[in-house]
Formats: sequence, structure tokens, C-alpha cells
Amino acid sequence: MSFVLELSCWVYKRMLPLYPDNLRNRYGDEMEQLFKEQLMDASKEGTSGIGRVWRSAVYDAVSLVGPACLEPIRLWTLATLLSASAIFLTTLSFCTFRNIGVVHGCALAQAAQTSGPGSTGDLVPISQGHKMFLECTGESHGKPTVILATGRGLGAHQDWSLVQSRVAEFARVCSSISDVVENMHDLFTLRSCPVPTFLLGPRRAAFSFATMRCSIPPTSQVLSSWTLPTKRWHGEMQPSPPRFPVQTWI
Amino acid sequence: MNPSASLKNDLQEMLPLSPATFFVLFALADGEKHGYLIMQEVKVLSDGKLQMGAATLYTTIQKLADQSFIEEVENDSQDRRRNYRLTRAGRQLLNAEFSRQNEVLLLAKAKKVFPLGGKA
Repeated sequence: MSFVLELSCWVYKRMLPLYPDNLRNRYGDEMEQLFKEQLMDASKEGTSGIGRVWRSAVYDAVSLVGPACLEPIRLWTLATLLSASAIFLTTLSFCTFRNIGVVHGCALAQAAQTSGPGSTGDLVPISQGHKMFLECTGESHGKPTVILATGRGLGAHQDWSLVQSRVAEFARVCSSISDVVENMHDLFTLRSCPVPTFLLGPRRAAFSFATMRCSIPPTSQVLSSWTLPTKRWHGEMQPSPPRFPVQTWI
Repeated sequence: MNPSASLKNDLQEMLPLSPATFFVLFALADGEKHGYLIMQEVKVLSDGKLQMGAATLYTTIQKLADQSFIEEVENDSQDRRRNYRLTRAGRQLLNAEFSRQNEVLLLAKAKKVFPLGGKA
């Protein structure tokens, strides 16, 4: 067999992985054999014959594999357009979004990465088939329970994990990645957090806290107007208490 | 409903066949063949109008084999090639397609839109 035929067969063999696995596993050898026979017959016609076989093979590959390759590209383009539209509309304040699946997933991944060995974070099923992420550190029956209201727009998980690690030294701490009041209520009721309970979070969470206070045990207190941890905090975790406990009692 | 009537209905639902499916079945109508022979036969039967590559041919063979319209024949030789032949269901499917095409042709003749000896 001439060098051109051998090279053609070698290239065709390298093309086989383009095809679906089930086709290649079942008929790969036969496809290779068939291509070789086609080439050997076509080589009698010279270069034009070999070129014709290759044209047919490339057309075959493109028509069969092309649609399968285009599908992910189409989905990727669609997802990009959708995301861009969502960002544009949110930026212009035409709409806001709740904790959507992707954001929730990211927060969960971060939580898994940043959780210490003594922490217990898991998804708790609440009403309407929703789930919320709850991470608790400190003694399981330790009192009081300090609830850190983090979540959408209220500081990054990394920032709050620093606060959580510090507060856990003297209290049981639970943090939620959402500030949806009714969901939080369900969450902490289901988990029966020991009383007294302190809700802790930034000023923006004050309204949520006020609403929530109506549905928590009377022994609980609500603290807000928390200054969000800054970048400086990541590198300067002092053993002394944080410098920003400007609490407003609601 | 008796089984043969049920099978006939199932076959009717598969019609019309795609050109690749039709010509692969047609190529196997006169006996078992291996892939390359099927490809050559398809080229002859379609008067060179349908030229399938190896991937299209084996995709069609895979689909037909999975639906039990064709089957592989045991091959004792060391050859990597496998022979294929029509099953009973495959033959019935091919006949059903021929009947459908014949009905269409008869209808065209009856409506005098396709005169005998005329050009399509």
C-alpha cells in the first residue's frame, strides 16, 4: 500500500473519535476497513479518486458530527445572551432576582470550601419544596444561638465565615445564604435552634429582622446596622473582638 | 387486534423510509452482504445519486439492527467485516415501502399527472 493510502488510513483512524461512542465502539473497525477498501478501489483512478473518497468522508463527518457539535454552541450562546440580558435589566433596576440556582450553587461551593473541620453545613428542606443552606459552628447545644443573616447583597460568604469563626468561640452560630424572612423562619424553626437567639446582620437586613422578630421566641434579640467586614479583615484577624459592633436595637 | 395486523400498522407508521434506510434494505434484498458491498450496491441501485460515507452507512445499519430489521451473520473468517442480512420484519418493511411507492405511482397515473414514458 502506498504512502498516501497509509497516511489516509492513519488520518481517518484519528477522525473516528469524532463519531458517537456507541457507533465507534460497535462499528469502528468496520468503518476503518471500509474506508481502506474505498481508498484502494479509488486509487485505481489516481489522485482524483482518492480526493473523491476524502470529500465523501469529510462531508459524512461534518453532516453527522456537525449538528451534535452545534448544539452545545447554541446552548452556550443562548445562556450568554440570557445572562447578559439579566445583568443589563438588573443594572437598570428593571427587575431583581431571588437566589437562583446558579448563585445558590456557587454559594454552596464556597461554603464547602471555606467550612472548617468543626462546621456542619447542609441543605435543609423548607416549605414549597425549597431548600436553604444552613451552616452551624460551635457547640450543638450551646447558648445563645447567634444567627448571621448573610446572603444576597449582604456580604460575601467569605467575609461572613470570618465573623462566624470568631463568634463561634463564645456562642453557637448559624448562617444562612438567604435573607428571605419566611424561609429563614421555617429554617430555624425546623432546626430548633436553642434560645436565646440573636439575629445579627447589616442595616439592610433590618426590615427582614423586624418582620422575623414577630415570629421568633420572646427571648430573642435582633441586632442590625452591622458594618460589613472589609478586605482588610481577611489579613488582620485580631484576637480582640471586631471593631464594628455598632448595633441598633430594634 | 391480531399480531400480523398490529405489525402491519407498526410498519405503516415507519413509512416513508429515508433514502439511506430504503437503499440499505433494498441492497440486502437479494442476500447477505458486508458494509462495502452494501455501499457499492446502494450506489448502483440509486444510479449514483446516493453516495453514503462509512459513518452514514453504519449509522443506518446500527439503527436497522437495533430495530431488528437486519441482523448480523456469524462470520468464521478472521476478517473484521461482518455480513448483514434482512430479517423477516425487514423484508416486510421493504415490501411495505415498495407498496407505498407503487400506490403513489398508480395514483399519479390515475390522475394523469405522470404519463407513462414521460419525463418526471
